[in-house]
Amino acid sequence: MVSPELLGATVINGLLLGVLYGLAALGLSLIWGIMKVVNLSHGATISLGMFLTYMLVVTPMKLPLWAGVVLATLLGVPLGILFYTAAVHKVLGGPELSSLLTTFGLGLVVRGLLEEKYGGAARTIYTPGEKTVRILGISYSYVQLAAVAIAVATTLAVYVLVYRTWFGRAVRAIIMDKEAAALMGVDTTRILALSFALGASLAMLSGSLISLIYAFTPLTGLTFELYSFVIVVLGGLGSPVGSLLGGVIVGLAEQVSALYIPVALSPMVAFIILVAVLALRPTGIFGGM
Amino acid sequence: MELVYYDDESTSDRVQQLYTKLITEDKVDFLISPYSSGLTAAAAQVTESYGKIMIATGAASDSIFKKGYTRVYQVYTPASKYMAGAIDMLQQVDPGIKKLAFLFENSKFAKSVATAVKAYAESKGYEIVYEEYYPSGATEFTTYIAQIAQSGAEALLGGGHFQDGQSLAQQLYQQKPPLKAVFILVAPTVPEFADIGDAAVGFMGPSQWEAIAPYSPDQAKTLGLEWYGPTIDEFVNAYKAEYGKEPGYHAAGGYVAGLVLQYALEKAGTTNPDKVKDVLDNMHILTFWGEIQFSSRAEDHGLQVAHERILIQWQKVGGKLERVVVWPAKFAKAQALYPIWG
Repeated sequence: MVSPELLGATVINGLLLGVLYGLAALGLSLIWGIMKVVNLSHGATISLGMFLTYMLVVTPMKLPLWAGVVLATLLGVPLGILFYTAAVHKVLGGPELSSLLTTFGLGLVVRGLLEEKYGGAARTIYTPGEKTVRILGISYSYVQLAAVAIAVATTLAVYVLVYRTWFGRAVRAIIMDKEAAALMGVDTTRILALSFALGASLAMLSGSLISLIYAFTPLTGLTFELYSFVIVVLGGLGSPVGSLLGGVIVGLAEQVSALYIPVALSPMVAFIILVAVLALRPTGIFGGM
Repeated sequence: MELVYYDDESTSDRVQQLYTKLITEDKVDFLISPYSSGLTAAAAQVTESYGKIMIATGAASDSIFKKGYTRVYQVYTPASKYMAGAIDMLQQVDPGIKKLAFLFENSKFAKSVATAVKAYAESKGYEIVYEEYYPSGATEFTTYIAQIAQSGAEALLGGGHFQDGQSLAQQLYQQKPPLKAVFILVAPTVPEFADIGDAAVGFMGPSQWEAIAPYSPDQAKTLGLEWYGPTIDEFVNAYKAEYGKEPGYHAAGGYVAGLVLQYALEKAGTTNPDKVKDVLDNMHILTFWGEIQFSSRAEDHGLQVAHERILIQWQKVGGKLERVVVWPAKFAKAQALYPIWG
């Protein structure tokens, strides 16, 4: 029998974890929604964010944690522009398979480089002596809570960016009709490159934040990529708030189900939800943009 | 002598391809196992079918040696004997404890340890009030820890490999469930466990080998065994000179695989596999690694039967994190820190 206290603690834990899942899915959701590109380099970019943070705050550099997170996120911008101009731009508007293969290839390159440098062994960025807060019997470190707060704030900022700025209007115009947008004076190539950069930068940020809490390998990003697909389907393409809610649903489903079924089976629950949503409501629970 | 090796990427498929390549293309005479019981089991299928001798190191599972293989030899203490020391120690340190929690990795090795220690603990009157197996590669243990805290368990036995064990320890430290002792497989015995700082203090683990182990040529004389190879100090100093850090038991286990092979080749005076097998089947020696003797019984041929394990604990000694031997009592250099979080 599960006590109410344990259930409460698990719900909170699922919420906190879910917010991070949501942030990890956000970049994928935007690029998918805006460019109709299913970015299979997303997971590798998340891993890259983890290892960049590791390089910045553990070895060879020893910057403060916040500086590691900020720098890793910012480096996502040139990286995204590089990916876009070098590879993605050329296959945009082509058959879906081309962009799938291109981004899959980019992902393999990034993952291969990480594996070459770091091997398969897990790394950790521990923050010993970190203060903790106890909520319903479970302790959370300040770093963990800060990561969650940053994830929520970022999601809201991206929402504002997409719905309240000129950039966002241009992006939404491209989503509706790329040619018409170009005729109205929108520099579509630039906007698309910037969108891809935004997606990469969000992936790097989520990787960076996750690396402060959990151990990671060059393959860890892939797990988050898989969850991201579930979340994007739940939340709807290109919807920041949908991503956040989708992430929370997945986080809660995984954590709470673990109380009632063998824990090893709990990751399966998210995918069962995916299948159910695809069958019953293919536009996602929260619709699309 | 030439050493040929490849990166197996920790996958069984790759292991089987590469061991086949080693035997058929590189024409190697003898093999050393990959790391972990799962991969060694995969490699053993190949080496046995080609009739090649393989020294298994980093593989503690018993089941590999119960398949009727005749040319695989284990240098690690088998998993079935891995954690018995933890139960013995608990009984002596705190006879009041009766409820245990188990949280092991869902892997061949960890499961065989768990199965064996469960039977042993129950035979000693302990009740297992919580038992879960987390998926390999897990890094998030909050839910498990909350469940353990609720279960009424007084001590925890768990772990699997390094990273999961380290994450588990770190999260246990953060959550501090009402446990008095925690025994974790593998992770606490690796020097890098100290990366988690003060969170490492108090965790115990069974070790295959420590630089502070008590084996010496003099002890060999007392036991009436042949001493072979370098002393512990010689090994540790040579390793430090080469790699600039203390060897953990993985490193020592790797070295001893070569040492066993060298011993067998010297005694056999030939690379003829049948003659080398004869020596391996009948040897019983003491080395810096401890005693080594392989079962020559048909039902568990090649299983390690002489090597014993010790329990180590992380303690703060003069402000510095150190591993100390706390069990068995005759080898112990320090009092165990108990209960774990004071």
